[in-house]
Amino acid sequence: MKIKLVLAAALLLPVLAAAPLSVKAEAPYQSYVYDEWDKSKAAPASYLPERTYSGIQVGAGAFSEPQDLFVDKSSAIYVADTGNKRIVKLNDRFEMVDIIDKLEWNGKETTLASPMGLFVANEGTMYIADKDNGRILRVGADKKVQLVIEKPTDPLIPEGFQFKPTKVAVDNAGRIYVLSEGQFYGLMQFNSEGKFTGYYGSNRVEVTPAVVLETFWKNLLSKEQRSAMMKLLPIEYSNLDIGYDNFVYTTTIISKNSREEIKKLNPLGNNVLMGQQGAADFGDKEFSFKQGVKQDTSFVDLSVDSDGFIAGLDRTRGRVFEYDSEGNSIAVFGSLGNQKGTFLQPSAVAYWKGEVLVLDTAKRNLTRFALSEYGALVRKATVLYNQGLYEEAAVIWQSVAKRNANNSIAYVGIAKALEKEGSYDEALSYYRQGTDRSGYSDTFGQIRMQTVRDNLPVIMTIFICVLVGYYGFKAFRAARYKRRREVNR
Amino acid sequence: MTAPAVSPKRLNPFSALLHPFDSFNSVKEDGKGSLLASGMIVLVFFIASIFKRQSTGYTFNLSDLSALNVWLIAAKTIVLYALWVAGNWAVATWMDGEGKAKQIAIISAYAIVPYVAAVIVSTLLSRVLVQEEGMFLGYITTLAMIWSAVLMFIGMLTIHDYGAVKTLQSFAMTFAAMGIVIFLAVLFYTLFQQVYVFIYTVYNEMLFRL
Repeated sequence: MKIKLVLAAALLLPVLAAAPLSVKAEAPYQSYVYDEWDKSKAAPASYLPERTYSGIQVGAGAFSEPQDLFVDKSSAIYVADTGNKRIVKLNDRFEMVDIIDKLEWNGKETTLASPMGLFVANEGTMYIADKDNGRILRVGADKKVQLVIEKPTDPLIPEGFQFKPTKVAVDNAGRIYVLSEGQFYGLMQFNSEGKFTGYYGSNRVEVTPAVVLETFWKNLLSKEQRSAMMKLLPIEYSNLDIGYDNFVYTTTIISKNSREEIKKLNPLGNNVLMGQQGAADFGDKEFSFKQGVKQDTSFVDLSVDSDGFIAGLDRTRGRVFEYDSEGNSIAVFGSLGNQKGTFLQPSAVAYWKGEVLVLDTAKRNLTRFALSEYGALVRKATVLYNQGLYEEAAVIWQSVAKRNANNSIAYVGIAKALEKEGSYDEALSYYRQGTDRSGYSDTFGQIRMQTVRDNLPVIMTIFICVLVGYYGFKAFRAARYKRRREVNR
Repeated sequence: MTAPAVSPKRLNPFSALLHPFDSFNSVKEDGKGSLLASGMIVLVFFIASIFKRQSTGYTFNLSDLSALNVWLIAAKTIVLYALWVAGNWAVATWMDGEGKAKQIAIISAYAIVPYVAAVIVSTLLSRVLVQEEGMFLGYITTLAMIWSAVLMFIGMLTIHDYGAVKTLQSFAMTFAAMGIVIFLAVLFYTLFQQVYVFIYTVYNEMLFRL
């Protein structure tokens, strides 16, 4: 007996050793979705931490205070290694291929003081926000500086303005959008020749009770008193990105109303990423208070992928919030902590080949998150759904709903397909589970019309019978009355 | 010639809706109307409010059906009615109104009948309407509210023997009185809670020491 066991073990051992050991570890953070009343409900993890990459591991030496991350269209990764005054370029196997620290400008050598933000356009043209030098650089793939933007002179720009560019993005037409520290007028827009063309997409002053009260007092006060009071200023942006649709996406850190933390700006600078009831609410909807201060989500970076998915990075709780192109919440992952997949001071996020990279300034590394089975299903279904392929999406939504009963988008997806194929009764109950009131209402309207149509003969028959009966009876009574009167006479 | 179908003490609430002057005058002069009927109306108001919260069609129902608080709805209906009657009675006593508490209670109840009816009708309608037709629900409720307000106005004017301006004044005073009552109630509640906590602490302390 014992010998048999040992024998079996001996036989099994090589099998076990040979089999690829795929351990499904639990994520070191909790995933959740919000229900209709903004209560969080547990959800399966959409993204799982795959690997971390430190500067040493990629072969570039330890990173120091890295601040920004960019993935270009050929999936090459650029890290703004701010503390080391350089930019590190990695290939798609996370191996260092280039270090950009010395640049050639008009035949002379120039260095970076603190590259805070970077953007890589087509053909490897790189835009660097060199904050402490107060300039934006456009650098060709040959490391030759093509364009330098320094502090612009324009009537719009106030005296004593310090040009401290922290982030930069460039659209297809070569327009350069710059975020400068302490700039509440919005993004600075430059044309491709580096000429300042104006501010773009300024935030508005939020209407909070405090603001209303202050405006009221200001109406009563004299001009001198007014100028002594605090100015009401809109919030400044914290980061920006250009999507594949050539729209400018922005994030804001502090928002008293917790609304429109992520914006998608059209060419006029107006936000087009709206929720169903006006201003959309991004980030966490449940808050804790720490010493009387609301611990709100503070988005420090965002990234937009080719399917229009938006990933926003929250500094407060170290979470990445993923939204689809309509602003529906898709996934939440990440946390503050010391484990793999958690952050100490997350500073940048980027999509990379359908995965998500997060740069941590304090840990000085990159974390790669890969889609889980559930996350892959949601993504696939969302892409199909947003293309209008409801039937194809519904099949996947069914299995999504099986894995996460709280996923309301899945139910809406199924309902849309059912509505399209005409099963209104089933669609109705799915719309209700997905809390889509307008979809529910439309479907209900269809059912109502069908019911009336089906029962119209019966209803009309009864109606006519009643009508005929009523008037017939009336006429009959009148005739009898008349006859009786004649008899009486 | 023919005897009236109802006893002379009874007041048909539906005739009060269309002939408020006559009906409310008969409440004052002939002592018509009953507190029982008024109580029923208020009870129906309460139940209709719950019905509206829980049974409005899904398209228009934004409330969490699993989190029903009956006490809150009671406070919004029965307590509000009682507060109104008490406040109006207090104000009428002070402003030389002729109405008695019982008459105020009866008339206030009969005056809210259109609104109660509208709550029920709009709830039923909301189950067959689609989103685009939702404004009709608002119209019905608004119309009924105005009707109820007019009835209340005529009723108070009749039983207190006020002029129009004085009635409006008494309404404003009533609202103020209701506010004061709520304020005092909250004040008493907090104070008594503190007294309770104090006594409880002393009791606890004695338990520990003795």
